[in-house]
Amino acid sequence: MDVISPLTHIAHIKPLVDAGATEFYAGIRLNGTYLGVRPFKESIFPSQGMLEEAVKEAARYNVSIGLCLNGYYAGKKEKLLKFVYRMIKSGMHIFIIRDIDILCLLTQHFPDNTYVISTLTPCFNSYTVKYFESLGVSRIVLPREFSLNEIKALQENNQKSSFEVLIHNITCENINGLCRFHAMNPEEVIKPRYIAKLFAMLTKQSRSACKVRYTLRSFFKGHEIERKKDCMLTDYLHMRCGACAIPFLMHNNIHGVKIIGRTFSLDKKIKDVSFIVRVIKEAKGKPFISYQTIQKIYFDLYGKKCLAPHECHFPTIQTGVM
Amino acid sequence: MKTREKALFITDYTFDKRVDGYKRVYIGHEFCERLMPQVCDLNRAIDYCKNYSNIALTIVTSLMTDKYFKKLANILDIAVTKNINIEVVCNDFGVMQFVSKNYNTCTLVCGRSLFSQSLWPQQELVKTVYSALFRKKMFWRANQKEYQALHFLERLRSFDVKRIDISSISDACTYGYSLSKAGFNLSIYSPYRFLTYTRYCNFASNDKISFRQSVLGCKRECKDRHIVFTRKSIPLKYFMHENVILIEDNFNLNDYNYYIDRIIYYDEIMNS
Repeated sequence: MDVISPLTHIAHIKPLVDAGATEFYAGIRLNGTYLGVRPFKESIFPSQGMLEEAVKEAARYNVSIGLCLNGYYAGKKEKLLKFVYRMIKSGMHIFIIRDIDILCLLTQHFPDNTYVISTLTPCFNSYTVKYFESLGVSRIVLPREFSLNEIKALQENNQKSSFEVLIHNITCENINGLCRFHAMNPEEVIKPRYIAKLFAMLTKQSRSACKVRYTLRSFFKGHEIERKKDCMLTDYLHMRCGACAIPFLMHNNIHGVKIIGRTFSLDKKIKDVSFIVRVIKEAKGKPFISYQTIQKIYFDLYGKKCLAPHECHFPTIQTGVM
Repeated sequence: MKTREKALFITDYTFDKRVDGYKRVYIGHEFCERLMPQVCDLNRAIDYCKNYSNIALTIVTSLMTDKYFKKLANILDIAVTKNINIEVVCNDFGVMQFVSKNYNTCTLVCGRSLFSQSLWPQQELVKTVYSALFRKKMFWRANQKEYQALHFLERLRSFDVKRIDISSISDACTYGYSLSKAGFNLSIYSPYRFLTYTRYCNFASNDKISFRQSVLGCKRECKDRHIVFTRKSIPLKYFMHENVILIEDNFNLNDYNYYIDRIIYYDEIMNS
């Protein structure tokens, strides 16, 4: 099973490969447009030249880097094609795509690469999987809100495609590809951006619209039944981990597990990769690992207790109801 | 100006509303597979439409997992056996492929959630705030853009889709001309546009009885409830209803002639 880790700098390749990462994903900016979905400087490679170098460096360790093209690209298509061609020349062959338009464009021009459908394109059923297969996709990142039984069923019904599952640092409860809150706060439209930033810092609030505080009024059959202050739009904001499901996923031939967190420090990334790799090693040949074993590995690496079931992405795995 | 068709989205399936002035009835759910109509609901809907002459029927589907396809097939089988030409709104290419392959008498429509996948999500919120601040038609005219996802349109054409549902007036203003030129008819939902939705139902087990008796499966508790979120510094109200977060599109649609030829009225939140 592949351990797919985020990558933002060439210098991170060796330590992450040593920790056990077998594939990377990275973002970049092209003519001022973020090609990936995370529009932050910290979450992308500093320059295209460095990304090319990184692809060559990773190849020395027998590891590939996938390019995130899962943002919205409104620029000229020729420029994107030129850029992708340059990346392919440097040795890159995995492209993570959200937009069906870009997928068709790239498969038309460069059919021999591995195209991965991002979790931002919801792929919920076998018909959708087969449809993407027909467009030239060979790998699919499953929606994060899928249950284990749904993952199993989809894998069993579609043996041609391989699947990736997001496993660590999972945050949001909404269907990712269809969420309009992506790192955006409407307050920034009203206030200049720096004032919004300062305001968020002073009030210790997030700048994302789904995480700021609202006044809530709850209605039942048209009658107001509750009023509360300081409420968020979403509840599940702590980072969740699905490591307990790794034996189940291995047993069901899932291609890889993906770790979220491009903006994290190298130290955190190494810990995350080491944690998942140790769970995979522990799970080899076993259909199930006890919750205590995973808690022990977690404590060894992070120096704190695993807060399951509150931070558990697949809380039902321990009870057997999936 | 095209004549606009008025459609009513019925979600409670009691069919006790009068639909005078409406040319079409929508049933189904765009965001939750569990709220898909039952066979009996469709039968009732067909009878209801028969009672009013010239009323057409549209079934709306959501993103669906494999196990719900059987249920969808049951519903569409009825439409086929009763020889009724219905429209099916698809919010997923998989569903679109399933319907076009097995039920070629049905007319396919690209749903707003599928269409919005070809647009950048952040634009939606920015546009909403602008529209709340500057209620001017000129603003949108100046922002009219060429719709660029031509491969996406080609994919829709390959399924013989001729109509696209648009979520908001701002999208209609921005891309209306371009899409209309490409040969698509446009419909718009009023008065709410969706911002996000989830599969973790916020209203599940709110009903104390079902919680105590640990009733499994969906009890449709979300139907009777909604939550309103407000914040002083944002001129918007967020509505959480069922598994969706929506915002109001405060526009008088008569002021706009952006190639929209169907308006779908959806007023359930105010009744819940």
